Amino acid sequence: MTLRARNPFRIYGTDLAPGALLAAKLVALVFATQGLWRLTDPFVPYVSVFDHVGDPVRFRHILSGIWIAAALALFVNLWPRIACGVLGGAIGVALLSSDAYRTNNLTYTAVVFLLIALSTRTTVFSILRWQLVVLYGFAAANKLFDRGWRNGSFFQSWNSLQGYGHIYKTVGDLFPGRSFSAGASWGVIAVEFLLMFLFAVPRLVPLGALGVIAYHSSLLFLTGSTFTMFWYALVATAIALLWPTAEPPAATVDSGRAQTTLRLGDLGRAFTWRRGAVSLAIGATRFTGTEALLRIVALQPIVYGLVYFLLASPHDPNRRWGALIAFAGVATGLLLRYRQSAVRTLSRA
Amino acid sequence: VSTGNKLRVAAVGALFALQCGVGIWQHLGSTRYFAWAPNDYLMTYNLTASVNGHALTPAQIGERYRLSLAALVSARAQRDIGLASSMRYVWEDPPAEVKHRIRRVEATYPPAERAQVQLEYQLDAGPLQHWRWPQ
Repeated sequence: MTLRARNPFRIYGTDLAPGALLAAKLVALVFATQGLWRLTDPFVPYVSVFDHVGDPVRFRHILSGIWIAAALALFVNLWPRIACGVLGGAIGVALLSSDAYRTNNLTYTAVVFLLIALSTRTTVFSILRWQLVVLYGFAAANKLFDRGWRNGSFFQSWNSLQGYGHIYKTVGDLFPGRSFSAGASWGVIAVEFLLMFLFAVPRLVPLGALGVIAYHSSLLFLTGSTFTMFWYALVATAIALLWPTAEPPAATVDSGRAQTTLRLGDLGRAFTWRRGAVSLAIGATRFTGTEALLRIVALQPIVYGLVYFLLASPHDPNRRWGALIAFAGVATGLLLRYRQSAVRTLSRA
Repeated sequence: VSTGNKLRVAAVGALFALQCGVGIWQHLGSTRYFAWAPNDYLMTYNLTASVNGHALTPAQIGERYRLSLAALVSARAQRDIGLASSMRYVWEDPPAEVKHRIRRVEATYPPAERAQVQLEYQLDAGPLQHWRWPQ
């Protein structure tokens, strides 16, 4: 292993899929930035063994120490598979040891680390998409079985307590009874079942991944909350599913300022660079012009790292700008996919 | 396929089976632990507790049960959605999980130090409900 392989911005050249390694690093970055690495001491544990761990402060310090060591290893690409397993395992132990610590978003974070640790380049796509089938299937079914969701009373009362509650009430009052809230509830249930379906069909997974980003970013935009790790971990999963290449693609750029910045900003050596008219080769497919430039930006790991870090770092921020960036990413992703399909159709004709 | 890969696939299968099993099992009861039901409930509540006749402060109750007892429900919101004026705090999981936590915490104290607990709550702004511990 060379010093270059220890570059924290690097995502290629390990035995993990590059998109999955990027996702793991992004989630670990947020966890570290927000101080979540402190984990917890045992409190009303789900497994009785945690009633007998001795000094609770020492338990937490040991767990935190293990988490930090694994995160450092992950960032420098040292045994990244084992590091992901330890990160997920440490969070899992914390979840099982404390009822006050357990949340769905931290559970999902632990599960994603564990699944990435257990994945290979060939299985990662199937493993992550099936995890999302399970997640959205249960989330939608739970809402469907709940009377408060079916009649809109949950949606009405929960939204009324948010910062935008007075606007929600004004809009809701335009409709008879709870019909606005009931309609919105059923809309959420339908979206979650739709996401489950999209992830169950391999060729629809890219649409599902863009849908996940759009859905959770709309919640972020509306509420201003990332729901602790949910937005970060789910968007990172979507990025892993959308990552199109296992090797650094070949990018060609000219000497213009913007393109030189792109080349110099590639701290993770995510491309092999050449000089010439702008183009990007991913496998056998070659893109040119604006399409190539947009894809070069989208395949820069440092772009995601920067957005995640800035979004996670302030203590009391207005995080809605993150949702706007995500919406722009989804729109660009849809545009590029639509163009690519159109070009394929034209070339077949 | 190498033995390592087979083991990994088996571990992934076990993880999925565990999630599905726990999710279905939780739906048979009133809690939703590890069941992928994030923030699906709105329980507004008030919680009081006393030990040997001495009332605990909200800070002491929050620390005892590790509940976030910052006053979250405004008077306007109470009025808008028809909450009782005593409703102060918010919990976004099923009410059974708060009760379960209180019972488990109290079981860790010796009998002389156990609290008398009163919980008033509304689920999704529904009817006002009362719960006491010990019952």
